[in-house]
Amino acid sequence: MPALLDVQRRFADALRSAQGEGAMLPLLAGDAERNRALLGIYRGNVVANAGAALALAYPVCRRITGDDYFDGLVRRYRAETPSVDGDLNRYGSTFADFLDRFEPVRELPYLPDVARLEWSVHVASMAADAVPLGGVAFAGLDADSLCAARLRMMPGFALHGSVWPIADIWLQHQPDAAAELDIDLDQPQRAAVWRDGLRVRTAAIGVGAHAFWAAAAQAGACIGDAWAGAALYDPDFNLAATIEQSITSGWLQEVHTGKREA
Amino acid sequence: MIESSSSGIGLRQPHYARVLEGRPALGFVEVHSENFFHDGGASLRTLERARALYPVSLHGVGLAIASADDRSEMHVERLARLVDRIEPALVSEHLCWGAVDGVHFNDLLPFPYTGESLARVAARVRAVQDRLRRPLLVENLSAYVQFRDSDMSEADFLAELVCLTGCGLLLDLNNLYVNACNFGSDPMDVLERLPMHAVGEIHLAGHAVTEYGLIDTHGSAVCDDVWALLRDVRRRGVTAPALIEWDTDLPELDVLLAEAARADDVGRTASTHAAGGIDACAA
Repeated sequence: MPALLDVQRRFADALRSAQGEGAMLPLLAGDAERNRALLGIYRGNVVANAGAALALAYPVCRRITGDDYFDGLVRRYRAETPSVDGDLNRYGSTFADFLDRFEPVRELPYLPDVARLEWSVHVASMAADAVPLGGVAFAGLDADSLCAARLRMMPGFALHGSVWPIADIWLQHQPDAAAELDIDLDQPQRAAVWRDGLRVRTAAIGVGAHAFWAAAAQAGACIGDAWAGAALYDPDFNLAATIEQSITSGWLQEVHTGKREA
Repeated sequence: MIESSSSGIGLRQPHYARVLEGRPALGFVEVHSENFFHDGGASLRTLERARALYPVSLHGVGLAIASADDRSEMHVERLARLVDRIEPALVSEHLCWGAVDGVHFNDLLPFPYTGESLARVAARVRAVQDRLRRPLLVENLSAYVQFRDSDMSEADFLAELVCLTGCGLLLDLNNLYVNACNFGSDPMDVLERLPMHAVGEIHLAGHAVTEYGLIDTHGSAVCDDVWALLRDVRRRGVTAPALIEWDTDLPELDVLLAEAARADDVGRTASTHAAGGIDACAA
């Protein structure tokens, strides 16, 4: 009898493909043909479990491709990028990158960016609960202090940019989508993902706002620098309205008004 | 605390609202631990609301305590955090492996029952119990294949594990029945070999009959033979709570509640005849 580690390596080979069963079969009691079929059931379970996890994380991609095509994608993705965690809710973070590389998906060129957006939605759904900042946090700040302040976003907040209308595509495929949107596929879109209480929301945002939040939320820039950057993308960028909207939507967790570090 | 011989159901997403609003009379509810490992959000909030109404059992599917190449430290930490948060009545895992060389198969996989595997599983169970500061219930597995070189039966392996670690047993009667049918043993003999004194929870579920034997699908009602096993276990004086596990082709909540009520009835009827007679570990 080989050591336990060796047994499990052989089992793992048999789970990867029928061609990998050779070293496993002699370890099993009973009829070899029957054992081949039973190992096939295990192989099917492994893919089905991974598929169930990806279907939960990527419901819009699944609706776009249809169930059978999605199952095929799961099979290919899992063969290339197996799970590394006992918690399947963490599986699938690189699905969009796989879709980028996967030739047949080029017929649905927006699918990888939709998948990127969906992963952010999935992550936001599991993010820590926190209390969003109220507008009063900005009260009494003079212009210099405001420009020097840095913002911390609520857990789960994420930004996306795409040459495809990803926010519209995502919204149209929600179970409670109000009406058929008239989606212009030639329309690039930038989007924010955030948690509104327990619910995850997605909305399209302007090019200036995207530049501002990319700097202020993701790169840790102070409000003044982020503002200057946003104005380069959008001369009409309105800082007050952007901050106001982020407070109303509950995007901000903290504002740090300390001196700007060197 | 869960009431003796009471019954509960696996709480699944389509039933969340009806259970939380209708508050059916149940001894406890059980969930898969990993689905609540998150930092926050709607699922965790739902579990906290359920916890306010019922004792909760956390049933793990991802710890893979028999993996020879163990890299589950983080998993145990996440479980410990959830245990602190929910204060469950029971915490359980399966007697299986699931990962090797950094790849996780996220399935409940069997392994040979040998001295080597017993030592490894015992060490893992002790480590988990030390971290959680509470006993773990370990569930007998439904397996499709058996290893030629197992030195002992699963029942004897579990009996040894209980003695070595002080863990409890999650006695899955459907798994026991499925294995007995598939591998040609008598379920009563298997019961005879298991340490009944250590049973902390009972699982009841349905299975599918296929050309390759019985498959543990958790997708149908509990069969008559498994109900008979429950009556037998109750007659042996086991008062552990029983759970209706239903994961695929999930029916209306009422169907689960009716199954749970039936399990309750078995518990009540048998307790009036219980004769005691509980085994203990040989020192």
